[in-house]
Amino acid sequence: MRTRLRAPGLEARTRRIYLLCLVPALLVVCLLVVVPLGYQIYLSLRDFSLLRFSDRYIGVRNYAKLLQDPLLLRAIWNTILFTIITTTADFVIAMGMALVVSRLRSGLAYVMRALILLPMMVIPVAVAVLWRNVIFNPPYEVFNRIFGLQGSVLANPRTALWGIILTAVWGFFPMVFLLLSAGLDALPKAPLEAAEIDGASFPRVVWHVILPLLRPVIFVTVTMKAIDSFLTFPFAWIMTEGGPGGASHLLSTYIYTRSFANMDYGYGASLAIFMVLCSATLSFGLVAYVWSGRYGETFS
Amino acid sequence: MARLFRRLALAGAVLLILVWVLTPLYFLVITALTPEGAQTPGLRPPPVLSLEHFQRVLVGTNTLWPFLFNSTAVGLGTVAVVLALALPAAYALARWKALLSRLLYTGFFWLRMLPPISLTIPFYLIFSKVGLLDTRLGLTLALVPLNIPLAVWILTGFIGSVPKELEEAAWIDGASFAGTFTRIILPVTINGIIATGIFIFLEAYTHYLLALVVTNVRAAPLTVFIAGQQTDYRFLIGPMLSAAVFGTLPMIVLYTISLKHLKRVAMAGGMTF
Amino acid sequence: MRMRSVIVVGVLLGLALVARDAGAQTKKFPAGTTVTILASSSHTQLNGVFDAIGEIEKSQGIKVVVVKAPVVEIVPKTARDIQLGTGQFDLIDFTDQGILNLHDLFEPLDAKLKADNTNIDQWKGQFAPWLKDTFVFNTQVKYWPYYLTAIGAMYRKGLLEDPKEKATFKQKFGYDLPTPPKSPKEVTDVAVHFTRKTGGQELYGLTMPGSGNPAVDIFHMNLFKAGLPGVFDEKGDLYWGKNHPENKEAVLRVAQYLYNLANGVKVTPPGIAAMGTTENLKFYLDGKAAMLFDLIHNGWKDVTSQAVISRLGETASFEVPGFKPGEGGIVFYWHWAMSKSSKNKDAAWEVMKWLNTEKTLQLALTGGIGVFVPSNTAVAQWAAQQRLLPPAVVSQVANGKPYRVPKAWSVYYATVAREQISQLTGGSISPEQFVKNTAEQGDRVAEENK
Repeated sequence: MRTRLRAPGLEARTRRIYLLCLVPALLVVCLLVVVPLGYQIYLSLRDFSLLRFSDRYIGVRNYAKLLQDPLLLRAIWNTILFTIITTTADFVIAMGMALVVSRLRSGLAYVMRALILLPMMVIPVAVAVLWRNVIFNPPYEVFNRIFGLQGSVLANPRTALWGIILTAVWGFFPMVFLLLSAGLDALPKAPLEAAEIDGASFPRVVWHVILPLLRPVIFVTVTMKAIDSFLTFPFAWIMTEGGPGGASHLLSTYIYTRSFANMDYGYGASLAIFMVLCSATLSFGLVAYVWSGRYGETFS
Repeated sequence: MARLFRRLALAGAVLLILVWVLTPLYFLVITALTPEGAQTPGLRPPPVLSLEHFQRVLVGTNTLWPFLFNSTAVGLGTVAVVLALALPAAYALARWKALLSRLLYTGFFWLRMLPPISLTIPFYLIFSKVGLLDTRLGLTLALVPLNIPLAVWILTGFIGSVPKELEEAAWIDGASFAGTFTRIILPVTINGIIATGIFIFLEAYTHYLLALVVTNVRAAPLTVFIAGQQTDYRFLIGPMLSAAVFGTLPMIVLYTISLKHLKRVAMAGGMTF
Repeated sequence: MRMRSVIVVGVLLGLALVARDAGAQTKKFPAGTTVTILASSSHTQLNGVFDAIGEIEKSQGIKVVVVKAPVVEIVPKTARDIQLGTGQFDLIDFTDQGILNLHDLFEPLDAKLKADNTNIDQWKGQFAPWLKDTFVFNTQVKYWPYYLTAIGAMYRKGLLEDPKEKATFKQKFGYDLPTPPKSPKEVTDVAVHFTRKTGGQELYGLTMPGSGNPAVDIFHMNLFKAGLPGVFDEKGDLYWGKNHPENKEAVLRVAQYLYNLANGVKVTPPGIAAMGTTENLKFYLDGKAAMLFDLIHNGWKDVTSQAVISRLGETASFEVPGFKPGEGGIVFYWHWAMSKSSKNKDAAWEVMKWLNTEKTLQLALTGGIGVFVPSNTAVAQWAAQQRLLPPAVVSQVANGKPYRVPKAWSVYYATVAREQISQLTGGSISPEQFVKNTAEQGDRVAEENK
């Protein structure tokens, strides 16, 4: 840092101001996150069940139990599968749409953009109930009628998760589209025009010019989407409540069931802490990335 | 020839997009307009359409207005609280080149990864002890920690893009801290602030899990109302879908007035680290 | 002159007010008194009652707020609220899943009855006799019974009583078409007979919900009618778990029966594994099924309405036939309870009384969606006379007995039963697997909740 002209005493004053700025947010986070999490850890070491009328310290027994829980393993696997597929599918679909819309005339493009954003206007909860009750389940069974199938997708343990995935993909692609399309519009026109003058076909332009230029936007969008998918709750819960037979439980819905339906708050707490650790581990790479390079780049 | 092929391909793509986007929406609207007790429609629309479901959720008893009010109030409350906390914090993080601020920034980022489910049990138990269950204030407090990270993330980017020289010039001229903030930083970053506010409102408006846990009926938002139409024995599809359709209206309004702000945010690279 | 008239008017006004208060019999409460009711969202019969409940505010100053929750959340929500002392709910529409075990959570009502000068024995006598052990514990009255129902069955008279159908049935099966069917075999045969496709229109012999609470209820109804006295025994062990292998036979039989209907002879619509009561009823009302198993009280008003009768003809109800004739089935009972941690017990008592007056009970039977058999025998007789109730449900209820319900039951119901049964009807697991899964998981639930 070069020396700059400063009024004397400004150094210390600014540092105090910075701290003052951070204190409210930190205080609130402490109160609303750190304290509850601490309470959660405390609960996870106890056998606290309202059904058994129990409340006593049992140490790490809950954690030992969850390591042997087959449904938990299923839930983890489902969550990973769900995250990867919805993120990829939404990205591919939204990217495709963004590219198509970018090739349209402005009037048509405007209309298309408005229409594409419509599924996002319908709140995720509403999307879930729509797909569950009208599209998948009898008596409307729109999905079955269109594809000539028998038996609801959501009632078969093998296909239930895929029904949820399809619904989530439909519900969230507009958001991804919004980000990608805005990013696409912001790209400098020069490289694109140059490529086209050189006679490159559109797919090659996309692959070699657009995607690399778009990389930061894509990275941010995909990361955000992946995080949200990992943590998601409404779709899975409203559509199948984790059924049938726990075949479509995601981590969040499984924790919810064990905690609230089984009224076993001790075990539920240990599961929740487990999920926090999972998500912390999975995002380690990302956090390291933020910590190291890019941070310095953005704010020089 | 190749040109024609390209045009056809484009037209085909557009058609595909329209089918993908509009089919479920068509069924949403048609089913909400299907009168109760009509013969189950196939893929064809029913012979008679009726507004009875909309009537049922908009007038009389058991309407959606209290829930819509809750959703909006909690949404606005969350925006207010989060912005009040995140704006100064973002300023400090953008300007302060110290280890502590770097730690905190990374910490806020990590907070985004926190599963909301891990807060449900403690919130439920703590709220029940201090009487915050089923209150709008309680729900707002529950939503705040979930939205601070995103706000800090976006706002730090925006404030960071304001050149420090402008501020320093003002300081040298003897302006107060508050003065520089309102006169220099605020006008430049106002778009980012509005966009952040909108994102937060959307998050809060569409949230389900925490609302399910900490509210019952007095503070329940629209999301809980819609999902709650799935009772054990009779799924009240009519009210469910008409409420869903009606619930999109605030969203549409919000998006229409804010779309350019959001685009400007994305374009300005506000969505970077 | 003016002063005097003012005084006169004032005195007259004062007298009028005093006279009004003296005449009023009902208890008045200070403004702002609120009573919160937790009711099952499946009790749509009470819709009319809850719409009219505002009159309590007018007459007594008590504001009533109704919170609805699905059946499987009633026990957890109540337990949480009372054990944590939150006191959110004052009155609870409590389910048989918890009535016998969790009565400690609730306020005894004897003192309140005495304070109203009610003869407690007379009061107890107004309910169906077999309920007596379900609302009195250690000589304390803990609940106010109000709701009874059972799984029932219906058939379309136009189909089963048609002479042509009877003739062809006799030819195919060698015996007279039973109206109604009286055994699982007869049910299967009649259903097979009526499953056909005529001129593009499909008809199924039997429709029943294959998912959710109704499916569980139907399964257990059949289980009890096969001789099992419950799902968990006195010690809390599963009746076909590792401590009772002798009962596995009966469970397998019922599982095979239902699996066969859905996947063997396929007399049920293909989507039943995703169908609940609403879809089931709609299927029947669309004229696509000859018989129906379900909580028929929910749709009884529909099938007896003129519009439906003119389209489908009349519908008759019958008791679900079981493997052991004469065995009673499962009767569901719900009682009103007052929370021990309620902060407005006096006001809650007034609301509880209002909910159980004859007028309110009659409104519940006419002003909502669906009906139920009132626990109050006088009102039940009135309802039967008015032909508001399916006869089969009335007779089923009359032969009821409370089934054994340990703490594990509500957990088993929500987490094991629902999942396994919908997989059975959907054909994803075999009957043998079903018995094995439910035994294993049931044992585990029993262990965890002893």
